[in-house]
Amino acid sequence: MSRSLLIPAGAVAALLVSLAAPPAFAAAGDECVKVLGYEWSGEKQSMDPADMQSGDDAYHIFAVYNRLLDVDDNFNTIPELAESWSVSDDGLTWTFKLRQGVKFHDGSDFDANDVVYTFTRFFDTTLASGAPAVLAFLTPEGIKAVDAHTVTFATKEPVVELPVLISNKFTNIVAEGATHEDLRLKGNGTGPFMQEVFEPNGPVRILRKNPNYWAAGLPKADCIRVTVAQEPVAAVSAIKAGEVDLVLNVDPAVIESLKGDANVELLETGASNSMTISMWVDTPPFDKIEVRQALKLVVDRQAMVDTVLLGYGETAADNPVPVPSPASFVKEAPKRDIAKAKELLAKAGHADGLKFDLYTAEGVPGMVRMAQVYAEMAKEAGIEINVIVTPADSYWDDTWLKQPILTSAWSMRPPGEGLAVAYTQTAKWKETHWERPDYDAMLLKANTTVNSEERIKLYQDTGRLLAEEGGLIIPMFVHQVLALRKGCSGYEPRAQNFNLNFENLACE
Amino acid sequence: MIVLRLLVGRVLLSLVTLLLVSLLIFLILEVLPGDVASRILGRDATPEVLATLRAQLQLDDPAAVRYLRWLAGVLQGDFGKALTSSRPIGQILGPRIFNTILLSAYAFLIYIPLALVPALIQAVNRDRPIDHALSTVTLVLLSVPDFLLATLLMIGFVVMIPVLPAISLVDDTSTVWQYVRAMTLPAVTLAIVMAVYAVRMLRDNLIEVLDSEYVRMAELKGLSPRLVLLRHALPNALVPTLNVTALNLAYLIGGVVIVEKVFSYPGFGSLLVDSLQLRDLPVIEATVMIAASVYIGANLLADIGAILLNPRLRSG
Repeated sequence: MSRSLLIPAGAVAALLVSLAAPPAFAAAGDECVKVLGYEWSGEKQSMDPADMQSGDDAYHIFAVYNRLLDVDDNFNTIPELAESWSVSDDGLTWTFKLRQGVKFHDGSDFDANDVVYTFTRFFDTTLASGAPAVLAFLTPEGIKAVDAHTVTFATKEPVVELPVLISNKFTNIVAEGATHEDLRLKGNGTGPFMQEVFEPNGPVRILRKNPNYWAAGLPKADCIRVTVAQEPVAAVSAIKAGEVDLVLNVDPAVIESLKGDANVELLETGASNSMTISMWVDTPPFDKIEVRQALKLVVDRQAMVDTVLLGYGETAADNPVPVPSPASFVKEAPKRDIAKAKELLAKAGHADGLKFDLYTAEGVPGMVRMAQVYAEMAKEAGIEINVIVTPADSYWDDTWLKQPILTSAWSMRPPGEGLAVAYTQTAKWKETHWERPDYDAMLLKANTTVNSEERIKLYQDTGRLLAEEGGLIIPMFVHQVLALRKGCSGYEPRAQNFNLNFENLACE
Repeated sequence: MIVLRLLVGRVLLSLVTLLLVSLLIFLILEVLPGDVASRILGRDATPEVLATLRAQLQLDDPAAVRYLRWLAGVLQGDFGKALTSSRPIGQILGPRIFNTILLSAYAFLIYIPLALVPALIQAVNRDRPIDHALSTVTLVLLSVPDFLLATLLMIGFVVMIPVLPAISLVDDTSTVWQYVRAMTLPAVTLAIVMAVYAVRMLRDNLIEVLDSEYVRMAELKGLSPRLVLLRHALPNALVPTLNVTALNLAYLIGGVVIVEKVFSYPGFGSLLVDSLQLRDLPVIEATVMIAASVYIGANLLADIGAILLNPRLRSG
């Protein structure tokens, strides 16, 4: 029997050795820098920048196209296809001077008409793009080509942050006349990489270096191969084994296993998205301001960051502006105060405690843990929270905006947009039912004040009002963690997770 | 003649079953919250954009109209286009089915020795330590769910002994060699899950057969133990195991869904999960129809086989 056992054992060993050997033929993309994404959009994947329905689309769109301006983590603008810009004295007309000599991947020249086409196209309702919701200050008539390399944006009211606001995830520049049907499967941009292999839900995307790229010497890599995996263990295993060079999003739960690995460098962004507990301010018991304040006071924010995010985050002050930002109304996140919370609850008529259901789902990683930790923290103040976990894949359809208190999350936006997106009377996503004309007026004043010191002061006041009286608890901001293989360099992670820049990424 | 008439009856019955399955899937998707338009737009959805997209995708029509429209297409051999990408179903499904058939075949190839060898060792060494050891191993594996087994294998053969890829990427440019590398871990996972049942059954059957009188007769005639085991005992012990193998085929349809997802293998199972998440009805219906057809087809073959082998059943 021993002989017959040895034979299969030998065969298995031989098989393993031969599998480990390098493949005889190089397949497509083997020579590329290999990027592994996490977000997934499957068959709805699109090469049209107007779609951008999930971060998955950013992996290729932000490599193939350029925007007028890039935006850094502090919402400072950086020239991209626009070289310089200025605003008229009345603040109503912005003029952008465009870079000259730029070519699209199909060889055609980039000029002002392409910019006008890109922005006016959003207002065609059949495009069904999410862009109009975040570009509401623009009108198609207000966007004009003055000459081949000058574009003006005219608005009805001054929009002080216009350069930042037109640099969102949808506004990559496409060539004039390109239709949705064309762009969906075949990208034609001015960006550092050209589409080589792309099909919706395809196993790999290959993006080849644009030899005519306008930035001299860039991109550094000859090509980028993008794949996605949703299984965190697969992502960790892949980078440990050297199968991929860059993992764009490492699940906090598996970060520990990469920490000791000398072949892997971990990169961390600044505040990337908020985690919120949002309640309706017009619905009992949250209609009483004392209750809302008590619910904010029970949070131990640092403990929340440490347990829910395993330290990969920062504490926040119940408004969408991160504490380190100059536009923040405090320099430090609020401290926990159980005694004060109990006192406020008593004042609101809940001296013998409070009880409610809190809805959550793993729609954003960590939300369920946040809800559970929050329920534990609130217990000490006599608040009994029943956490209801709903299915993640229908959360945004079925639960969000439909329950009086729930967990949510928002990606990082400039202060003017972050304070508006869910909290003005005209907001599309009124998560807290907060409708305050005085708040809207203050924010509008901020968004139209040209003097930057005054504007920042107004943002601080707006943030303070929301934090002190609103129905929003933001205990923390998440920091994204990325993993870069040793020997690779030049990748700078951005807090806005769709804003990917592979220009300088290269591997030895 | 009787068999032929029976066959026609069974095929017609199968078609009715498929129709009911398609209706059931449609109804379940109707009841589930959200639709493909809200899935496409995600959190960017505003009421206006949602309304536009729903109108474009003809989601505003009554459910009955939408179902009958789909059904009419299918009866004309047209499974339609994906609602998300507008690509024809055949183009989406073709490479996925090819990949899954390849993976299943590979898994079966591993499954056969994986089931036979341990069972033979156990039967020959009955009640010795090796028998107990293998029994324990199969019992443990029997209780490990497939996604956990997949993850453990990944840690073992990707991280600890880095010989295989964690992400099983294949596309139309992949070489045979890359296919083999990519499929090995998913196939081994599937094979192990299937084999543990078969090992336990085969061991017991073998022991029973080895105790039978004709085997003792063969031994008394002086045949070598090896010949007795492989030529006389094994074929007879295999027959009941074939039932388990048939059941395993049914498992495989569900098993690939999980295993393909864990290893990011671009097959039919991960397509089903993807399209369900997007509520993309034509893709879901087409995928489910294929899975159901495999299931029904396998049962039909088994039934026909049983009828042909057993004259008493022919009268029905």
